[in-house]
Amino acid sequence: MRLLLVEDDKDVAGFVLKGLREAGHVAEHADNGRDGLFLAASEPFDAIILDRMLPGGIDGLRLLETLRAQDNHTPVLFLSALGQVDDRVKGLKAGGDDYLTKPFAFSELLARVEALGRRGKGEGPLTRLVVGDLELDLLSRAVKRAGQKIDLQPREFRLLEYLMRHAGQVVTRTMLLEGVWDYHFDPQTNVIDVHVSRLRQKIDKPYPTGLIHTVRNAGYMLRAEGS
Amino acid sequence: MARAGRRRFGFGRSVGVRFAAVYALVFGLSSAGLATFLWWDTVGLLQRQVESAINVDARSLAARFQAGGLPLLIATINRRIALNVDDSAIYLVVDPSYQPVAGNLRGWPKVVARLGVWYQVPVKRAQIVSLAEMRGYQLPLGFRLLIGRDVEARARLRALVAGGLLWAVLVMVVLGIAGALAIRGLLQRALANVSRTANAIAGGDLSHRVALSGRGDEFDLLAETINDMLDRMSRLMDGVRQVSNAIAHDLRTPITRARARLEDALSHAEGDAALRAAIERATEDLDAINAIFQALLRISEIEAGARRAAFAAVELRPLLADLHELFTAAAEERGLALDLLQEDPAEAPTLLGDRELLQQALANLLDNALKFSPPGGRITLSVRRQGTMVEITVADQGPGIPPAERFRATERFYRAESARHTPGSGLGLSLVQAVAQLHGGSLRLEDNEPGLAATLALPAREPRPAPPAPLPAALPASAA
Amino acid sequence: MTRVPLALAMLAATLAFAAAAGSVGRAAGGGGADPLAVTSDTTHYCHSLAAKVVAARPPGGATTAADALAAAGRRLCRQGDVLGGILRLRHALLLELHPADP
Ligand SMILES: Nc1ncnc2c1ncn2[C@@H]1O[C@H](COP(=O)(O)OP(=O)(O)O)[C@@H](O)[C@H]1O
Ligand SMILES: [Mg+2]
Repeated sequence: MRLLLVEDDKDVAGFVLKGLREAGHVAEHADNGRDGLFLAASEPFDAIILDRMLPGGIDGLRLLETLRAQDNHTPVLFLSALGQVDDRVKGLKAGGDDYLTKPFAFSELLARVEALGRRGKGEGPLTRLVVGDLELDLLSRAVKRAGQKIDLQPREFRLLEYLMRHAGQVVTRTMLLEGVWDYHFDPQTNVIDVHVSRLRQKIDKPYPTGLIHTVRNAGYMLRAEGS
Repeated sequence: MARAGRRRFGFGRSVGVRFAAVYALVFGLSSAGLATFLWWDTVGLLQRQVESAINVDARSLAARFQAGGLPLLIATINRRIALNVDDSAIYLVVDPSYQPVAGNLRGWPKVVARLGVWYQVPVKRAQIVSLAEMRGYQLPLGFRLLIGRDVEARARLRALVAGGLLWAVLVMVVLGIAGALAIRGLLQRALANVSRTANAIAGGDLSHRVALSGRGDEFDLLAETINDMLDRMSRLMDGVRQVSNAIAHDLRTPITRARARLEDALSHAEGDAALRAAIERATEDLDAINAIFQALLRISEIEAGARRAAFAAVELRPLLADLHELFTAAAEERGLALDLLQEDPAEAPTLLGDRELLQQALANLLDNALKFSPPGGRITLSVRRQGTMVEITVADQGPGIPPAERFRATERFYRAESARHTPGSGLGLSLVQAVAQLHGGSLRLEDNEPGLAATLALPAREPRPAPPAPLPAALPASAA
Repeated sequence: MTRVPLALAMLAATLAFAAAAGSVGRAAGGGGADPLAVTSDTTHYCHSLAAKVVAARPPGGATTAADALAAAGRRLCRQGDVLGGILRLRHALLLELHPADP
């Protein structure tokens, strides 16, 4: 993916750029709002990682607003030390697609950026998701693996749908909480792990190969063997 | 300092002086009004009576002259003088050359220069000078008539009243000044009391309070209000101090741990794997520290009340069902049963609030119940209406919190001794409490015998009342 | 520091009031000239009043009260108490002219 990072902190920027490139992405960098806006407006990107507070007169919010005013709909992930609920709401209102509070784990950032960059790439509305021998029909809400029907609770269905939509990507627990349950906080209890392991019982247990993989220190990934 | 203070209380700027001046003015005006009325009602009344008597006299004498000419006028005047028992009447008729024709005055007084005007003229009566009120009238044929009344008695009365009033005014002046000074003194004493306290507090003595006079008057009320404010402020300050102490203490532990781990790895790690592991765990420690910061910031954000702007109607039933669904799996994993009880499923309680914060608060309560309950227990999540409140209770069968500790459980960083070995930082209940207060509700911690019953009581959003019967006054409007 | 101007103001008000009270009604007063004498309190008038009383005596004879008053009046005038005499004579005359209301 082609990514743009607008971040003024050299250390953070260096660390993020290195990580993104190691993950196989092409990453450009701007260390102030003016350059960031110029780059974002003149070159196509799959996603933009945008710091809220930037030097040079144009802060993250202004940059994004200007970009959206130019009808540029590149997905934007806000990166900010302003972690209050209000700030997040403001960021999303201004047209941001996701919001991550500093300090952050790189794995979380990477997972979210990849999810964003992949988004909106689908051709038309999907009715069927397929990963390996696992099929999920969004219309009849039926799930089959190797041709065998699997009964799922509504929430399990949504969890699987989310994982399948992000097949091949790392999905963090926080992303699952937000995307499947619409919760914007982290419970102390390992609620997500339990739900995923229950889903695994139904999807993976009876079959020789597992599709749901645990990614250490990051989250989960749904991936067919060999793909 | 004292000099500056005195200057600020200087004349004209001092509220005390202004109040005193207003008091003196009002007192003086009312006194003057009273004196005027008294004067008008005594001396003035007598004067008006004399004047009207003379006028009546003059009219009847003029009529006589008209009817019977000079002779009848003279006869009438003589008769009146003869019958004037109180010996106060004065009459004089003069011809065009001012020669007396009839009456009991030696001659036309020079001072009575114009007719129809009241004069006070001294006259000699039995060798004694006294004062007479008189007025001249024009008669036909150039004759002139002078009618008067001896007003010496009235003059004496007037002097008497004037003297009385003078003394009264003097007394009033004295009273006015004394009252004004008293008011000023009172105000300054009361204000000095407040400013003494303010100065003491500005100087750092936060325990100082405004002294009460015990009279229960407005100043006492003010003093109480100020003292309440000071109490609240010092409670807040205590809170801040406590929090900062707690932060310093509670964060030092994980920071120390992370640091030790890194330093240890730096000098003793054997090989890459060990180094990696050490760094990984240090990162986890830092994440934990960050989580504590987040939680603290969140709590203060909630306590500041800024989130109230984002309140919206929240339906509790789906919210609770979602939470129940989210936590059930985790509960079962630990061998616990999690039940959701709704008193009246038909009636969905609604409240005005912040959905996200309510979710987080209830999640914290459920976290605790799961965390502290031994396997095999039962946890109930229940909701019911209690008057104007909606009460959501999370009850478990774990160890509970000893009654003596319950009031401290919502303090930041509070953790019971027994909670040492469970993960957590003691901020969960603080957040629940803050959320409750943000919504105008409260958090109750009670004994579930055994276990803890934590109840979040929140004001219900009243179900929209049935449209009231239209008032008669509203009928024309609705018809229009 | 405040009581001095305050007291002065109040005192000024008092003096003004006293002056006003003393001068009310005297504004048009005429001092100066010799006071004019009233002629209805002289011995001469007393005698003329006594004559009037006699003249006004009703034909049927006066009441004893009027007669007694007239006699006393005449006596007082002779003795020099002109005002007392005139007073009694006036009462006597009043009784003779208006016997109903003394
Ligand atoms: N359900 C419960 N049962 C027993 N003790 C509890 C329960 N909930 C809270 N406590 C006590 O109150 C303390 C504070 O709780 P909390 O503020 O949620 O912090 P934490 O969960 O991080 O310890 C806990 O450490 C524990 O001692
Ligand atoms: Mg807790």
